[in-house]
Amino acid sequence: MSLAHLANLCCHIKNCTNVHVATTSIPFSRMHLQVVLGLYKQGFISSIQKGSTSGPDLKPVEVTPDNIATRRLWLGLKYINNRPVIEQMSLISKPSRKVNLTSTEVKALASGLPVRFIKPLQPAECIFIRTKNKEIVEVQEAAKRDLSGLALCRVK
Amino acid sequence: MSKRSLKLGRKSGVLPRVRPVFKRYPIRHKTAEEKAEESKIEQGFAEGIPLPQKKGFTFHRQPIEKPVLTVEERIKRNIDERRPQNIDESKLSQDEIWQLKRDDIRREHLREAYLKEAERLHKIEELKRKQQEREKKASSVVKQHTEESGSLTLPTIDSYLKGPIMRQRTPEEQQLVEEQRVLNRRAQELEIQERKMNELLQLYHAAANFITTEEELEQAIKEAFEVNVSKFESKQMVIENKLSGYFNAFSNMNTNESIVTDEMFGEINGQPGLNKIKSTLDGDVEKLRREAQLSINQRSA
Repeated sequence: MSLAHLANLCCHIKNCTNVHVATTSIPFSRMHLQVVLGLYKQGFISSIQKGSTSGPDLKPVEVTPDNIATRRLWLGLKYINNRPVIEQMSLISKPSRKVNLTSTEVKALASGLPVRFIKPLQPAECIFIRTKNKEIVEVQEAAKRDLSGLALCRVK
Repeated sequence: MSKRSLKLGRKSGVLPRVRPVFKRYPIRHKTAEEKAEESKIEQGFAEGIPLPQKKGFTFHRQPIEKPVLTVEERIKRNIDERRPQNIDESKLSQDEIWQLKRDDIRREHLREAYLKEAERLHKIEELKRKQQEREKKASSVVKQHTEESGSLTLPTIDSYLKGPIMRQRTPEEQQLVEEQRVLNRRAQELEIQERKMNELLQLYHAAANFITTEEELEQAIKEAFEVNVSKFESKQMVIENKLSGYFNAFSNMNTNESIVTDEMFGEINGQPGLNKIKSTLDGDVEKLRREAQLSINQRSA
């Protein structure tokens, strides 16, 4: 789990949506899978596929130390009326400034209040939070489940 | 700091555990939950093992429940009933009166302690009960949430996240990889050694023309400037041409040809190459030559 990798993911997805790319691939790791699954559940992307650097897999392939370097996650990006669904995607915590939120702060954030330097949640915006047991959940879900954790990134 | 305090965690001393005020018997009846929980407790020996014979003692599978002695009963038994009755203070001495008073004070303190302790225990129980309720509520919310999220549509990704992302190598695969690594390293080392040997051989061949004595130097100078002047001049011209950027195809032809023949026959500047020397040293060439000669002789005979 590295915030630098997450920053790369944010930038990559923004670059792709800026030039209207239909599918893109990101490295295959647990954190990427968790974040991307969150995006899929919130409806920001249309598909997630396992694959290699050459494209999505046609047959299921086992991930081993020999092929991990070439394993990728292929994402289907969404556009509506010629505009990308993901307009903004940025980190909240940086490697140099990690933002750990308590459960009350998470609840405040979920109910639309600003927390410390984090600006209030806008309509159609999501914040992802990593809980103590390495789970990445959306802020509303975290508030509902009374969780606390590290604020990772916000997507709009 | 002395070493003596190390075993006490760098503290000068540790106070003994606080003695419970209500020893032996509980002060309240067990709740239904506690009863349900304690009904699971079993003690003694496993099934089929004969019990040891012990006089005046019976084994119980379940622990025997202790009788309840409430705080009121305790106060009544230990304080109120023990208070001396019908005392005529006029007959007592000052000391005895004082003793009675002291006992009275002690009794009052004990009563106070009983009541306070009962209150404290009640408070702790209340807090525990609240915490349990909260945990129960939170766990039910989590359960409800997981049911609601309908992860039925996303079984595969969730299953990825549950287990390890990558399958580790099996011991056999690991062994194969390690052997391949050893092989690669040795191949690389061999390549380096061969290159070094080739360079050494090249140097050896070149050393034949090295000028090492004064006579040879004089001979070479004489040859270059007096006997074979044209060769020197032609070489000079080639160098000048090269410097001025004029490409002379003929001047390169000889060198190209020699490079090709060297590569073809495995030679170094027309001299025997590494492989040839190796086979000669092994005696392979000699053996082959003898066999060929033998077969030729046999045919002719």
